[in-house]
Amino acid sequence: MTDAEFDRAVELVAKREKDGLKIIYDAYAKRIYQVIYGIVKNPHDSQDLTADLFMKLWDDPSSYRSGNGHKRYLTVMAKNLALDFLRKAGRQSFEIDAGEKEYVIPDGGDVEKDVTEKMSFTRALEYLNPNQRRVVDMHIGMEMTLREISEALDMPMGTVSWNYRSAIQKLKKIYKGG
Amino acid sequence: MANRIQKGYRSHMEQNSPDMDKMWEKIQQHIDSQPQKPVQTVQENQPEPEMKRRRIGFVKYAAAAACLVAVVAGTVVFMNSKQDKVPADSEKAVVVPASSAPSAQEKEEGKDDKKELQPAQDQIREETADKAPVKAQEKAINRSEDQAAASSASASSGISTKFRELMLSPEYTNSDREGKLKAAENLAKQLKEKGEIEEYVLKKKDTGDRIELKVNEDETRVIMIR
Repeated sequence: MTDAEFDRAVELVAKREKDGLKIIYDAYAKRIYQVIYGIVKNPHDSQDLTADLFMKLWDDPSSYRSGNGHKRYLTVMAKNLALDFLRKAGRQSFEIDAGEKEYVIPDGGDVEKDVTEKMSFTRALEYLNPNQRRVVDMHIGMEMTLREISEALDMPMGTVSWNYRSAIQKLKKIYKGG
Repeated sequence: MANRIQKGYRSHMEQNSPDMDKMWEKIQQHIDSQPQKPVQTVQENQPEPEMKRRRIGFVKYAAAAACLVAVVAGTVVFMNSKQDKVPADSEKAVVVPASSAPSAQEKEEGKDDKKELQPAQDQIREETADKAPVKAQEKAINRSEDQAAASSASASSGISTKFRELMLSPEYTNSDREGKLKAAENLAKQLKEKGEIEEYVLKKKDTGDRIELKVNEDETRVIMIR
């Protein structure tokens, strides 16, 4: 979906026409769900939060500012909803900038071999740290450029690029399916 | 390899997506449960960089206008202050068309210096009584007494006033040049004797005669005679 198409859909939403929201929903609901799931890690909560996002858009379409990139708008809203949810749920221990250590996969060894040979992509994604996961969800899922991701996450371009590269390397290493 | 990852991600997204119809129903319920709101208009905001550019453009014009106003105001103030600073007894101040009458301010100042002028004017009257141009000068002095024309509080401005009275009487014409010069020289001489000036020099020029009065080491007055 292009920015112009999204703008037209939001105009319909502003005129209280459901069709406008349905167009956006069909195009982005699954992708937004993945972005939210990447943060919340719970399918039910992710589903609720995805629905909340579209309800919010319906309630206040004027919150969208044309010209700033609709994907950025959607992902920022999704990220904020997910983080707010985690805060409210009392999961402050969740760290956005969690380090690599928790997610490091040992180089070599039989355990890795056993895991990687049968591992699905869904399992492989779980080995990414939150930042890597978010960048992958946005770049592959939402089809955002690294620059757009950098602006949406308020993260330096170099960090985004590094996170993406290291995520892809990690996925290549552990995902053998195709 | 990267394509493989992308394919893997897409298949993962399809396999792990929730029931989309169910989720849409939930959203629709929310929409239907809401009371009908008035139609909202989408905020047609311009991109931030463009807005910034516009703001900068406006500031640029405002700054330019402010600078222009400041320059004009500064020039006016400067010119005014320059006019105020021109000494009353400088060349410019003394050179007034012969037909001009003493101003009200000059009259005012003349009153203050009236007593100071008296002895010098009396002497001039005595010494130049037998000469025709000097008669006219006498008339001028008398008129100046009546009109209490030009002078200032300071001694040096007093000197200028005295000469002004001599030179600028309307009775004088170009043919009285010699008489005027003599009268001016006499007055300068008297002032020198009284010690009000240290030295005087009379200069005849085509552009206009002048008498230079050295009041003290630092101050020299130039009186144009027309």
